[in-house]
Amino acid sequence: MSADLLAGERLVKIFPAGRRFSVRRRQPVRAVSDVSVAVGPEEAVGLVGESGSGKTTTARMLLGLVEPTEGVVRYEGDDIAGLKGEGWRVYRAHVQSVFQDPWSSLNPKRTIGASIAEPLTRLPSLSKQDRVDRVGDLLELVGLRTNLRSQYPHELSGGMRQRVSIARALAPWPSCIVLDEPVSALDVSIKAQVMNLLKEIQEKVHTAYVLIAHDLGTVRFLTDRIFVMSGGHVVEHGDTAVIFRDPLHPSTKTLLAASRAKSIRHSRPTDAADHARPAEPDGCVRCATAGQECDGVGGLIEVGPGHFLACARLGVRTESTDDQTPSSSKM
Amino acid sequence: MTAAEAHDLVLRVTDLTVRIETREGAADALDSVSLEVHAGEVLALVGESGSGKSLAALSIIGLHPRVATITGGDIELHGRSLVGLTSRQWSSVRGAEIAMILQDPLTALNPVLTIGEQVGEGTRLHDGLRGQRLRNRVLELLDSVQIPQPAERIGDFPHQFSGGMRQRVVGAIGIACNPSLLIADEPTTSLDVTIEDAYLDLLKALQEETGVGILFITHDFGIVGRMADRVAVMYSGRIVETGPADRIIAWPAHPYTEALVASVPDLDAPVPDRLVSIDGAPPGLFEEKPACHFAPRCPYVMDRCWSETPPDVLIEPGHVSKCWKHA
Repeated sequence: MSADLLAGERLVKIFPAGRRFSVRRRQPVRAVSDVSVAVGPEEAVGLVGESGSGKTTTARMLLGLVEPTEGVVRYEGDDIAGLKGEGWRVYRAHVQSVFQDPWSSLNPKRTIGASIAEPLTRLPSLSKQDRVDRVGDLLELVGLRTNLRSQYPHELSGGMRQRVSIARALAPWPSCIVLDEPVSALDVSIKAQVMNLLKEIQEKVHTAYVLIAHDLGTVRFLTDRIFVMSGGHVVEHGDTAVIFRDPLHPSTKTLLAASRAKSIRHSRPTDAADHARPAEPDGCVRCATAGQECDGVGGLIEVGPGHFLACARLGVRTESTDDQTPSSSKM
Repeated sequence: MTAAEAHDLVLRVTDLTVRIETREGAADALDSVSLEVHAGEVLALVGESGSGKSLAALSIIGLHPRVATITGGDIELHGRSLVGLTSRQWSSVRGAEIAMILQDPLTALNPVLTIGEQVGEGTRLHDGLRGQRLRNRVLELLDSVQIPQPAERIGDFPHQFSGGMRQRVVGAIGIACNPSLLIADEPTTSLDVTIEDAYLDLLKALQEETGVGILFITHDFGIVGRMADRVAVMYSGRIVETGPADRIIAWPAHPYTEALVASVPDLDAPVPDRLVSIDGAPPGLFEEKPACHFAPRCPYVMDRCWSETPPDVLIEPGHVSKCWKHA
């Protein structure tokens, strides 16, 4: 891959302790620890993990909605923290977002057309007629009738609203869209339609996607690479196909096993460990095979071409197998 | 049906029709719905939002909203009709004979009562247990839903539990009085995949232990494969297909079921270029519908589908599909 389009470098986010309503003095929450993620131009990457793994916080830092405690977010190589005025506006137009809930992400008092056109009003080069034309094109692109523009969100079904959210995100010709669980609130028969639409749009307009999802079927269908997060760390990342074929990290395996158990052709139970949520997510506390060496998470090691893993136990094992490889290759 | 099977039958719903009347219009939200749940069996009621699956569940437990009226058919629990029970009669049935697990454990639990009080409430009211015996029963229930150290958690409040643990507590309330029917309305929708997985295992284990019949409501065919013995698929207020879960997954007969089964992603098959999807959206409740409600979205649609209501066709023993395709 050449230059990254959007990258988070060694991101850390610590949320200060909430004091309101709290009798005891609470500890600050370390939601994301030392996370590096990147998406190239026209590439689709997935962030997967259980709730509380830090994937949404990471995405919000990429969007510039949450300020990282440490680390840098770069868009086309520039630190977004330094963006002001025009530069910030350009960034906000180029990196768009679609959220999970199509019921709350559209303004109920605005027509569909006005909602989609809103990001365009920031682009001074467009005339009013240009905006009207653009809204029409976008409605067509997401598979909606163009006369829908004068309707209000409450007149639309959930699947249609999510199409409107996607159209709005596409409006200012973004180079990247962050999709936070874009289909998980939709009904089964609608879910596949929207997933197909996202794939079609990517093929047509070549937008980069950062897709956050807990459903691995969605991620596998739409992404080229995935980052698996657990306890605020990236524990494994690599090509989507490789990770699905050869998952190494225990939390990747648990996620895959849980998704497979629901795959109707594999109706077998899994040995998912007990999942009480830790008060302070850090590293591998939830892993069923964790031992003493798993106190915290080590760095990512490259275990295969473009396949990275952070696991104290497997890291040790990988090194020992590496030692044996030269001798076997001599034979 | 043999005498033993008849004895086995916990719930029988026959031609249940429920009409909803509002200022926007009137329509049959449930249209001749029939289903049966036997002891020790999981019947999955599958459908999308608005298909009527939750309304069916609420009607069975007598909690359907005021705008809904049962205009036809019968609901029998162990042969006794539940239609038209007084609220006093209902309170001896609900919780004791039929229990329900709702979707969201956060709103299903009372935030100002301890876990122990809530799990013990049903046992106290229906079985009259008090004091140490009540406490022991609550501990036993919490233990059976795998709450670690129940004696220490019994005095905790719901906010001190994680989402998965709360849903276990709701499960414990459900089985507290040894009901013969447990209705689970999408109990894992608000849980993470891995936690959902563990919860489904737990529910299955509880069922094997107690022999309770479960009516499991879901929109997710992935769960059906894991949990269900039999399936009833609902579309727009009607049951369009019913039969053994393994048969329906392997050989879905109704075009709607076929599309639903095909839309579950298979993680081991090559990534498809496009997912199988159903065009269009389910009809609204007050919308004018053709004789077969699925006709506008159906790839096999025929002329008669628009004008003649499709018959229930027996595909194989215990497997029925409501479609002209088989006729």
